[in-house]
Amino acid sequence: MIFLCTAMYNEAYPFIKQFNLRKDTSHQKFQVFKSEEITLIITGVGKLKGAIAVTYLLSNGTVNASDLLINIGVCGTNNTNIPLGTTFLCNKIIDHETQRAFYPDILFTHPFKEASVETFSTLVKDNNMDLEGDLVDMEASGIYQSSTLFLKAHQVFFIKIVSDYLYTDNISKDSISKSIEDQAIPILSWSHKVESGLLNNKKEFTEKEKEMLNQVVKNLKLSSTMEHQLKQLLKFYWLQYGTVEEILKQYMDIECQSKKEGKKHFEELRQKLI
Amino acid sequence: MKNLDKSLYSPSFSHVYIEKQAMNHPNTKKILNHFSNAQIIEINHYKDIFSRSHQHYGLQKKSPKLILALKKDHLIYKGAEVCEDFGHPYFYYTSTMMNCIYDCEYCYLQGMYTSANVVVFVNIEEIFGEVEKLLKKHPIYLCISYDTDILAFENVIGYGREWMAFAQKHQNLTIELRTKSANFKAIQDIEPLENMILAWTVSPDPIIKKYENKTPFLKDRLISIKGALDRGWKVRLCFDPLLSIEEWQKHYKEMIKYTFSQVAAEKIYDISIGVFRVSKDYLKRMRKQRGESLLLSYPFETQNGISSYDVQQTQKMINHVYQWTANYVSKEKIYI
Ligand code: SF4
Repeated sequence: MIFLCTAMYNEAYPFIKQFNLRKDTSHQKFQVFKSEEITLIITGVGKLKGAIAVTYLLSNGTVNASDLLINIGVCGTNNTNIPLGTTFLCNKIIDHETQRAFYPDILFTHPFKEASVETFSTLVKDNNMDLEGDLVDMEASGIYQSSTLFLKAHQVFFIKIVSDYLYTDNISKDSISKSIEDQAIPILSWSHKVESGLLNNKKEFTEKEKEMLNQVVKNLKLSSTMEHQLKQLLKFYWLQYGTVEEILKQYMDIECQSKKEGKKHFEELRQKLI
Repeated sequence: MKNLDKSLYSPSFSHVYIEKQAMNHPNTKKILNHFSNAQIIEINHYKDIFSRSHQHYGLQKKSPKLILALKKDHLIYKGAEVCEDFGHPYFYYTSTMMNCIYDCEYCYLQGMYTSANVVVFVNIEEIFGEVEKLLKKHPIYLCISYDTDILAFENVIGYGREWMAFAQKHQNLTIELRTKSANFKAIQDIEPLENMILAWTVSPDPIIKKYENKTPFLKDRLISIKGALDRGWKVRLCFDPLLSIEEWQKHYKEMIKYTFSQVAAEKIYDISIGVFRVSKDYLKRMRKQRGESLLLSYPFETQNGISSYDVQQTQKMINHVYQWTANYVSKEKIYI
């Protein structure tokens, strides 16, 4: 799943439109839009709102090793050499108030420029201000901290599109959507590439094998240490032969009357597995 | 799959994170000359990035980043129990780097660190200062390449060379530099030192191919070893860690035969032999990192917190490798 979060509806609109996202009306506290592959939440402006919305979103179900969370939004900069509309992937997030810095892992190749972003609690309108970050926003530090409770540092991305040089008075809602519109498709097609690269091909015991294992643990009256050892032995066997069904089958009908009897069978099973 | 990985993952050291205080250190500048296209990111403390909890060691190995920092404490450590001390009472090790450019499946660093990024401490002169303080008290046997592979990174930072210059000034210091690299050429101009041992981990090619990802093949390591011996260096061979894989007898026997067909056995300083062993806690984390590793899922036995093959298997492997080695090298030179 690709989780998108934007602070405002206008930032979300290009994605809602281009990817046909439908409003999920089961959510009352936040506006959530969905397709089969994308879930988008509108967080509201500010790092606290960002953190709350992302926590809400990610704690609503299980997250996987291939899931991504992308915070997309417009940002300001006092560097007038940067053309308006430039898209950046942030490699450093500085929380202006606490001066703590966070570093999303940039493991994947990407088509964007990179920059640092400084998150402020209030709107920055002074373009003479001394800034630590190349860019200025109001959500990134909150969203980083909440999202990494659920995801690893390489699964979270902060994509910021420069919309102003810190004179925010003349930014219209339309111009925000416009700034993002051209980037929606490139951002999403890159995200899909990353997501499929991360798709977990991890193999594990089948459900049937798991059930059989539980049954054998019961049948042999194994202690939790022995159960742990058995799991490790089965894993070793399974990695070599691809199945443990046949070997577990031999112990499905044995019902031990005592732990001593179970231990005897366990030892025998151990020998078979090494 | 490898090609897909190549296009998906940024190249190694695409990003260099530098502590603010390390920014102007001459070694930082020297290192940056090698990474002119890298993104430079200023950090406050290396632990802000290296010690984060939500990292994926395995994926980071596909695109490791470089972190340049100043080492401020624990400049030198007492040797750990699992390390062979070669009979030296003052056995220490030091980390001028953490992590390495190779990617061995059995590497204990993946159990020890939360990050696969490579840290270089640029203030090596302070580590030298600390060693000098200790040397005033007693002689030292110092391993400088335990949690890393210094020689593999020699072309970038030249720490092997710096340690050699340091060793030359301190006769009561003995240094072991351990490597899997084939990079002797980077230091071949240096006069051999009496108090420095170059130690090569030597493994059979099937093991290198399968479990020592990105490391040089046996033939290339042996060319380096031969170069060092011909130049007059003390060379230690480490048949360690021995791995209990299918046909291990055949692989290790052939490796030993091939090794001594390429290098003069009588010139070897000594040989250390040991089976794979690792702290129980590290093993737990290593297994988590590499859930599909047959090598790591082996049902090891744990004694005193160290996991390894059971006593019988350990002895069998050590005895065999010892006997095969003793066909070429006198027994006094073999440490088990
Ligand atoms: S060479 Fe040594 S430090 Fe490097 S990955 Fe291999 S085992 Fe680990």
